[in-house]
Amino acid sequence: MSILIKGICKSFGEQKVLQDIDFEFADSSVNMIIGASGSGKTVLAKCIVGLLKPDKGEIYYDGVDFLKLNEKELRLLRRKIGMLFQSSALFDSKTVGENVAFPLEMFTKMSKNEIKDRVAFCLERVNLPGTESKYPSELSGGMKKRVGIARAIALNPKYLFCDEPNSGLDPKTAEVIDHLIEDITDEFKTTTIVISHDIKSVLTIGDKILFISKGRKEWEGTRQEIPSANNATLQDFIKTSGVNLQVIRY
Amino acid sequence: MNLEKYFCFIIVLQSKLNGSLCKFVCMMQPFYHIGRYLLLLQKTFTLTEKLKVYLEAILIEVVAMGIGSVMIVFIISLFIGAVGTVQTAYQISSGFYPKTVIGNVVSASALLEMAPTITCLILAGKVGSNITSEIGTMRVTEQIDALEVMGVNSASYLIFPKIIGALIAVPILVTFAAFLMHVGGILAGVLTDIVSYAQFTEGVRTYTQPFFVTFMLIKAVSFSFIISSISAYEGYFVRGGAIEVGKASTAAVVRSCTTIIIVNYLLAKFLL
Ligand SMILES: Nc1ncnc2c1ncn2[C@@H]1O[C@H](COP(=O)(O)OP(=O)(O)OP(=O)(O)O)[C@@H](O)[C@H]1O
Ligand SMILES: [Mg+2]
Repeated sequence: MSILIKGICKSFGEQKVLQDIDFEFADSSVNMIIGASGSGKTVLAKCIVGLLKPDKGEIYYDGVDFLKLNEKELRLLRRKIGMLFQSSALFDSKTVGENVAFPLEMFTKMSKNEIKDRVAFCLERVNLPGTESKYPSELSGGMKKRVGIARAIALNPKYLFCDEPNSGLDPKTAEVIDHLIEDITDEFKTTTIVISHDIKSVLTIGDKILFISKGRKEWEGTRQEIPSANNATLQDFIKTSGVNLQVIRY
Repeated sequence: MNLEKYFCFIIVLQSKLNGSLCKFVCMMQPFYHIGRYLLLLQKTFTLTEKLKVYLEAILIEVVAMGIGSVMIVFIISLFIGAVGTVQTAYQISSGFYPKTVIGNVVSASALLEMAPTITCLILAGKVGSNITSEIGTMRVTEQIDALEVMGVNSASYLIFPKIIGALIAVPILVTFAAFLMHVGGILAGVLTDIVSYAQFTEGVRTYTQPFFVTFMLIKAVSFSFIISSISAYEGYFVRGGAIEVGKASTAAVVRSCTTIIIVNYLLAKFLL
């Protein structure tokens, strides 16, 4: 299970947001897309899941040409994708519990009780037990993010996309979320793609890292290769974050 | 899919060109909207989810649209019926026509024109703007994207229940409105001694044909489809933020009212 992208280009009018990005997102590992704000990370993720159409390039999910799928095949493939949006994108007319239960109700034959258990389990994992009956408008930004994660993992997706899962979280909860993402990846062998600004989580859980700057691929490698990376932009990016390179887990 | 490419092409062309060519392409704009509208309808009626999901949603919509609009329909219909009686009485005050004409005019105008058209114009403002702002808000807050990424056909999930809900609720409301217009007419006549209950109902019985009711229902069904689908279209393709959602709601009301008036004429022309 891996996702291969080749030569992805995307422009909005005159503005070239992505230029010629190649990468392979490996299975059973946490693939991280990092880069400055506005460098095109979200646009790249949206291209990969098909919410935006790249102007040029190819996308393969386990060898399947994603851009050539018809509507029906696309829907079936997407049922294996879980995605957390940068804006959380919770359904605001539904409660937290209904949000997490939504994919289960739509795509499985689980009974009401099984769904209830599963929802409670997912909320427990994101550190939000017992919040089922709250509405998204009653939650804080970080809580919305976590509900978004719970919804994304409810169906045990094969491909998990998280757009800034721990922005707006305190360091402690951020760590919980990092471990959750890592555990899920190991447990279900998912191809996990995490977009992040948080260098600390990059250095602790990032197995494969794609560094984008101004819409171009600047560097790729593993977290262990970062200290020896021969790329000034990357080194500068890491240095300004102020995170000690000693936190890298080997 | 090819059709879609063609319409996108028009938009791109429009952004690249200027001057008289641009004017020509602007003229193509309605075709772009019609094409995109038809494609959306096709996507809407491609049902991909479990039937239960749709049934539940349809029920919710029927209740929301129906119950939510009963009060306004009640008040408006009563008064339209009453005005019908008063104005007809004024027109025939010379005494040349029998009083039964009042019942005839009020009943025929209610069934053929007032109940379906006026009620639907009101509902275009009430139900239509509601649909647009609901779907539009979901669009700008990425909730529709979230549905799509999960593999849900967002068009059929969101729009289909609204269209079916409107197709059920609006004809019921229109029938209710027609009934109330008769009641209003009678009340105004009897309470002010313009016409007696017997004269009024005699007028209704002699001149009103069963086809009037059929025609009313045909209109109600057509208009409810127009209101729900055009409003959904406006909401589904919103881009931007809160201001654009507001603008789309206004556009939805204007466009569905205009379409209703035009279709109203065509139906009268070809069915009467
Ligand atoms: N729908 C759109 N229309 C026009 N331009 C867009 C659109 N979406 C994104 N952009 C532009 O693309 C660029 C990259 O945006 P993107 O959202 O991918 O940034 P990002 O790397 O995710 O930043 P952040 O870390 O702040 O989320 C930005 O300059 C933005 O203005
Ligand atoms: Mg982003």
